[in-house]
Amino acid sequence: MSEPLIKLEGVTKVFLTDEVETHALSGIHLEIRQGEYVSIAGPSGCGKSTLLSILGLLDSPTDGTYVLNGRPVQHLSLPERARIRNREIGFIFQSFNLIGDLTVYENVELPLTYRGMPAAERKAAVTQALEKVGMAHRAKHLPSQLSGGQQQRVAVARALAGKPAVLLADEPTGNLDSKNGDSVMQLLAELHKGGATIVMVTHDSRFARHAERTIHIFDGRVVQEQVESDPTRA
Amino acid sequence: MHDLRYALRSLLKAPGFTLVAVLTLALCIGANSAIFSVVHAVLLKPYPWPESDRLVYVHNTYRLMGVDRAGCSIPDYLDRRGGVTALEESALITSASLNLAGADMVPERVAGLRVTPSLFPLLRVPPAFGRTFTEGEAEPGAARTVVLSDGLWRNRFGSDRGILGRDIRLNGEPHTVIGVMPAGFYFPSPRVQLWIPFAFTAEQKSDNERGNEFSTMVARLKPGATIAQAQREVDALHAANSERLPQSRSFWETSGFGGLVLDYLAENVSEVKAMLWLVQAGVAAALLIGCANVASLLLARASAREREFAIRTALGASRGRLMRQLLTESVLLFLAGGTLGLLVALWGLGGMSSLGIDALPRGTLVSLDGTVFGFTLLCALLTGLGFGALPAWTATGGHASAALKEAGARATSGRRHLSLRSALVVTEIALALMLLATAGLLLKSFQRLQRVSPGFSQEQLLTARLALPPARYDTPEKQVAFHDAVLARVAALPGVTAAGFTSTLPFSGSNSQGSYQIDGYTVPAGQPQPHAMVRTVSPGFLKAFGVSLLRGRGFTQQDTAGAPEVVVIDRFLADRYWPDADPIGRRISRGTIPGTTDPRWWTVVGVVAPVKNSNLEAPVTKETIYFPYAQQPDSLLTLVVKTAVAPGSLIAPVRAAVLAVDPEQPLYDVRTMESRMEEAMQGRRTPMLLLGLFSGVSLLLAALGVYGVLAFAVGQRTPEIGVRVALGATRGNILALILRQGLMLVGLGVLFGLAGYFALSRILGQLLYAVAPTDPGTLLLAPTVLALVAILACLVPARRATRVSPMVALRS
Repeated sequence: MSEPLIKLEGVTKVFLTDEVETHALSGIHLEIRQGEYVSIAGPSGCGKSTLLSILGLLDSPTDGTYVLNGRPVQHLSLPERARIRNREIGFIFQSFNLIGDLTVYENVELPLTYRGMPAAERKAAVTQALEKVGMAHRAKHLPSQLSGGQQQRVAVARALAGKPAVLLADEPTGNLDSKNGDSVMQLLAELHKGGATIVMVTHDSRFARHAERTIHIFDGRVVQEQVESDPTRA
Repeated sequence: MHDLRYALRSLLKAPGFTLVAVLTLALCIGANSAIFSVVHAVLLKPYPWPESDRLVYVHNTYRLMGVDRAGCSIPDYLDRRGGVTALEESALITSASLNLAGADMVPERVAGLRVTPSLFPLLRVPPAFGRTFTEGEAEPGAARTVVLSDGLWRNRFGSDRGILGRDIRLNGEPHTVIGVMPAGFYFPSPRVQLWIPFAFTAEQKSDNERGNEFSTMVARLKPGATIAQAQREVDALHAANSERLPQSRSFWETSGFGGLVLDYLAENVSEVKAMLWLVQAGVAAALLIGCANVASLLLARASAREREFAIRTALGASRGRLMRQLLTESVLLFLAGGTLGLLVALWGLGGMSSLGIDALPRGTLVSLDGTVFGFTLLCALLTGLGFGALPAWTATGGHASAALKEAGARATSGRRHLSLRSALVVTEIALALMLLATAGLLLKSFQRLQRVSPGFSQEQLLTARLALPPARYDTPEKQVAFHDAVLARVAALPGVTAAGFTSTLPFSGSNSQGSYQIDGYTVPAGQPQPHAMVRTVSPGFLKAFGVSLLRGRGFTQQDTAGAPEVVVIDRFLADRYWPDADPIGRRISRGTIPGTTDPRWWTVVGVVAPVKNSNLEAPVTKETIYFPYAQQPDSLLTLVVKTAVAPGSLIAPVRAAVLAVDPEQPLYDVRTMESRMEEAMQGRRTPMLLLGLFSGVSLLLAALGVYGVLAFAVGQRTPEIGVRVALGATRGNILALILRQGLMLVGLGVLFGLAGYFALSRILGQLLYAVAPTDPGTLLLAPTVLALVAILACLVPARRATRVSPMVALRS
């Protein structure tokens, strides 16, 4: 069996505030393989987002190891973490987090500019990503001119454009109505079918069931792993 | 009242903001008040004589000889007094430096003025007690009388009202005190402490006296009369005189002789007017920058209070009501700044005094009076309303429902506020650049001026005046003997390397000039007769004053009254009339042999370098002739002492040497030549220093403005920065992002500043010496300095942005 894409061993995260230790994560062991669609579920404050931040190299574990694509990444320097974030990780946020002053095209292009990709290659990648999410016709619009569902599609395109190893989605439907939420989940499902590895945080069990495997977290620990027999039935 | 109470509470609730805003405003408004107090006292305030705006000078002028203002002769005065109907009253005045002494008094030099009796009616100021002069007291041979100033009466005569009718000794002659002027009265300046009658002899009233212009004519226009009208009448009088006196006509025509009617106040302050307005404009720019900073702070505050306003709107407050409340706050803030600003102004005036404000014309009258208080109040109110209105209008313009929905609306209003604050910062940078460039150019101009050689050596030079009273020194022999004796004693003092006397000391505000003839030279038709600055000097003066001898010799002890009459000329005269010949041995004529009408011929024995008399900026345009004092004695001479030690240390020994020759003879106006030169440069130096100070403050305020806007922007863009970091932006990317935003503001500000500067540079050009207003060095340096300071200001928030935690940013 091949090496997992993501491997966490004994990952702990402790926050220190006013000399009070808060254990956000306690000894997390987790493996995610290439092409898997995993959802991380749990109540509010259980540590899901902290786990996603560590997976996205936005935060470092206090203890434990994190191997991404065969490489330990928990002790990397800031510039190296930025480089891996840019090349191997695609983020999809609950509140879309598009930059209001940039057009749809520029938003999708942004991570590619940080990579130093030539303009012609950037254009091709952006167009392809926008077409994939059905937003190519809105390339020149500003985010404020789009609906919430459309904004999230653009955010997905931005995450996809750099062809990352893994897509990390943090409550991607949290700010959407059910119709738009379903549409975005459908889009993620299609991406997964196309071979994308997706890790999605959600507290909505309805959406969690879209994934092949759901990891339940409570008080910073993995309390249950559940494999969905038919992820498409939700 | 409710608004006021709420505003007070609101300001006290944010003590940091209030303190920064009030201090900024106090500094800027205070500086404006201090400078306005100077502008007001020097340029705007009427003289303390009723309807002083109708006062004029009537000068003589020799336009074609380069002598624009030449005083007024007695016959010209008499013509104009009787013949110009536009003038209600006229007076002739001439300075009289007098020794005030007596049996029980230490001899003291007092500044006096010889005036026609018409002066006091002209000024319309009656004495505090006693009376002023009658026409009869201004007749030759009349009993000597004097009118005292309030200051002299109080300080020297112990406010004794019994002084009326008593005699005081002036230049050794008894003068009866007939009146004392009221407190606060002065004419023409507070330095003048007494007035004596100006008596004209029959000879002085005759046409022979024309051209002898040692006096000044002042007059009052009739109500409704204009300067142009008076000028036309003066011109008509000269035309009539020209017809009547054909022997003078040719000279008058070739010299461009005529009369010149000028506004009294404008003429007195003409030299400093442009510079003072420039300083006022500079400090006003600093005020605008300060106000923009405070407005920016108010906008930031308004942004933070958007939800509060939304709640108030939801509760039924109208936009006008909200604006009124916010305007009350800002006006209160600005008034507090203005009040504290008065203290800053008071402190600033003390500082400016040490910068030499007193040396400006009417500079001693500078004070914080009612007008300055009013100006400060107006400044605070107008800036408070003006700069408070913008944040108030913006803060109350949002939609209450959107504001109540928090995040999204906050981002939008934040962007609106950021745009406004950015516009304010661009304005600040533009103004600061204009100030910086102006101050830089003035500094460069001043430095170049300081490097100009005046034609003499001002270092280690002590100068002092001596005025011999005619009563005791009534013959040329007595005057020469006194001066010789003083020179012998002073030259023998340890530390003295050379000493001499001159009738006119350069850069002392005096000059003497007159026409002369050159042996063998015929004035071409239509050309004026040769006209020179004339000096009477002792042997040793040229050496003591450091004037370079270029050819021949200087004066010696052998150039006595009975010896062949000789002169020393400057190179300007030599080059002008003997460009290809040796001037030594040539003759010039000036005056007549005493008791005859025969011309008095003087032989040129030496040529010296030209000396600038009063203006370092202008090239020498007129020749100078030096006469030996033994052959052309004078009772009013200035002692010049070159020293090998600190000049100040020789004041007492020199004074003692003079008193050893004549115990009643005071030495006055004792100063180093360097201090005289400094005073002459004060009109440039003081405004330059002030503008330098204001441009420094402006630079600092503009940098604070840039910092404030970027810090605000970083706050606004925190979520965006988080997203960018999440997408792989490095610290360098984020630093560049924020710096780019700051540099954009700086770039725009510099662009607008340069445009504004070029638009106004023509005015500045008139105030510069040997520097073009478009001097590339300065215009490159000023934006560079500004940009560097602004980049430093950008770096702090930019570095803070790189430390934004993406986790925190994405959750915010």
